[in-house]
Amino acid sequence: MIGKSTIVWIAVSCAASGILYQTSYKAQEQEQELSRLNRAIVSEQEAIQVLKAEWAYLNDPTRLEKLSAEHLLLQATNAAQIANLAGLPDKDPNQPPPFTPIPSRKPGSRAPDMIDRAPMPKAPPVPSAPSRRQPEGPVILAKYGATR
Amino acid sequence: MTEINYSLTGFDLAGGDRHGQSGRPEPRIRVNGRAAGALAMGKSRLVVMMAAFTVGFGAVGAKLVDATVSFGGAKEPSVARAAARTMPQVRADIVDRNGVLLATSLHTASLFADPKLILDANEAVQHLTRVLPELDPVALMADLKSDKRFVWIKRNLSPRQQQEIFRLGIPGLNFQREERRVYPQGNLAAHVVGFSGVDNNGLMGIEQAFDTRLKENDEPLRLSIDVRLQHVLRKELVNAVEEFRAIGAAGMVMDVKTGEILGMVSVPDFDPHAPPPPQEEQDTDPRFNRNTLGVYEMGSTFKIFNTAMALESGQVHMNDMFDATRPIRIGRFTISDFHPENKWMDVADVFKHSSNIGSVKMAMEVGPQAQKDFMAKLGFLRQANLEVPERGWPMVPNPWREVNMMTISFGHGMSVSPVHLMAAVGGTVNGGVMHPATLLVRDNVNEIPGTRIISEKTSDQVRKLMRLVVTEGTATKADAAGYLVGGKTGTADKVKGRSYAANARISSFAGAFPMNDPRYAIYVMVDEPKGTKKTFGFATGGWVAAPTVGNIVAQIGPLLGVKPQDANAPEIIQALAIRPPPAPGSGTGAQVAAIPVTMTSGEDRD
Repeated sequence: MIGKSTIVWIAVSCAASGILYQTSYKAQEQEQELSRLNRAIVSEQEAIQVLKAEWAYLNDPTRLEKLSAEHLLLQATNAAQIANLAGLPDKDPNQPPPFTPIPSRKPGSRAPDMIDRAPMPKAPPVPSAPSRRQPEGPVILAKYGATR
Repeated sequence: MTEINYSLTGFDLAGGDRHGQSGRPEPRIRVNGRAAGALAMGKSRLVVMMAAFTVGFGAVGAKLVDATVSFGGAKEPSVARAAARTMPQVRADIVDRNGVLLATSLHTASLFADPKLILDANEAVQHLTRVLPELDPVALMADLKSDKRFVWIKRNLSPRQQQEIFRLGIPGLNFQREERRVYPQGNLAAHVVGFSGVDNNGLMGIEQAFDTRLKENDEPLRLSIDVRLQHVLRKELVNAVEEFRAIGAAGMVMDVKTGEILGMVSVPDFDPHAPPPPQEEQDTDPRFNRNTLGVYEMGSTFKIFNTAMALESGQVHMNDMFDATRPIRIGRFTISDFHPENKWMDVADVFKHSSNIGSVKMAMEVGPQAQKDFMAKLGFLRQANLEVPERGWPMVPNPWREVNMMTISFGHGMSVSPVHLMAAVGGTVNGGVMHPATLLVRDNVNEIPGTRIISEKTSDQVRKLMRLVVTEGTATKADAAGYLVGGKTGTADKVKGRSYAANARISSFAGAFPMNDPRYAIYVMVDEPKGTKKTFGFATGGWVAAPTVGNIVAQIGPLLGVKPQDANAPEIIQALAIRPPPAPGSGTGAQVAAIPVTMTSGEDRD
């Protein structure tokens, strides 16, 4: 004869085994997912490594120099193009402030692409070598590669 | 005891009950005869079954507890898989001082076969040679029909090739994952980085020197060189080789404050992906690193050290005059000047005009022993201190006689490698502390090893002399506007066999910039240049190496962030002028270095 408690026990054990089944399958699935993700991470890392190598390869200075000569007007920096603050002339208090256009700030004044023509030098331009004997030369915007 | 076999299993499990039968109370129902026996048997079988089920379920339960609560073997694979999240790397990367990749490892697949599993070798060869046309069908056929269980067919396939071979579906073929070393900068740093073989063993340069480190530590190895400087050096050296129809050239840039080598180029060079086999003749071998492995008689660039030694000894002062009117005769040799001035000269004139006679006279004030000690202090008597395995042994005279002293004073009769010279020039101009050259970036700038070789005062004097050579001496073409280059040219006939070659020379320039506070030392040498129309047929250091240095400094100055200075500014003139005459030498006397010296059987030619 089957008592009440037996029925309860059987029910509990059925439920337990059902949950166990569920959990075990879920764990298995998650493990598969984990290993899949890890494989994906590793393959991404390998891809990153390949891209890094390609980046370094494409940034080879020899190649960049060739491309720059083909497509740009830039030339190697000349020591004369580098000036320090102390080498700049002092501002003359009697001189009116130069017109300085601010791109897209002054409506209707000038287009932003006119900027390099704006502060026209009035005095002769500074000689190429930064020299202390030229205190009152104005600053001009350098136009790179213009000689080519 | 009854004779009936009670047990299903052969064990009389119920036997225990029957032993105590005598004391048992009489059952209420008695079954007699055959029925009684069957009942007893059924009862005992039931007990056996119960026992069996108890044991069985107990085992299952125990296993369940083990597997779920106290994690048995089930946990291990998941741990292993989680750990595989980082890419397995066989060799660490090599990067330059700014982190630009110089060498890296990429994963590739290599194809191998198990000939035992190949069903039809003929068909396999046919298909494989269609996909990989570079394979040799005859050798492949022999491989596939052999008795081995493993033959390589092709290493390091591209992913496309691998896919195509997958598609062929030939049984017995398989892929092995491998790492392949890739050098994105190609030739640019070939001699420094070196290369590694197909089995990922370093075979040259840093790859060989740090083979174990690269295999054990995944952190990238940071070198001191700068790819941009390498490029400028290489470009200018290749230009010089072409212009002067030279057989090779070498150049270096070093940080004199740390000893880090920022650029090191030797041409001809090679592609590290396909290194050429080594050659007998080192002059034309692309693998030969002239900077470290080559040892050369340096010629007049040695006068930097001769002058420093003479001034440091206190025996010679800047204003001392030397008679350079007549050549010096010793034994069967005559020492004369290349640009004879035939007059009495002071130290500055001797240096500026590169007078051999004057240099010999200066060395004679000091003597052979002190000269030898000074050379030992500069590290010229042993292998250079550098990380690459390709390092040449200097060739020094043994015994160090007076005639050797005389020739060494102007850079002959003793051979050192350019990297020796470079480290010594750095130490001479930077205030007198020589730092060993290194190809690795110095992480801790506070702990840079260094030995004092000359006093700061002597260093200052030598700097002025070196600047003088560029402003009004033999190396005017080495100047780069704004960077105050200083240095010394050198032209030395090459030793071929047992005598000097008539028309084969090394033209070189060793210098530093900016000369008022040197930060970088630079060295360029051109191997066997020929004069051109532009140089009026000259192929000396001043005509060949000096302009190359000028070009290089003009380009690398901005890259290195050196502030351009006006050479005519009064404070610069003050800092670099020889006149007004500086006070006489420090007079500390020649310091004897206590460096253990291993002498090679040197060249004893003169």
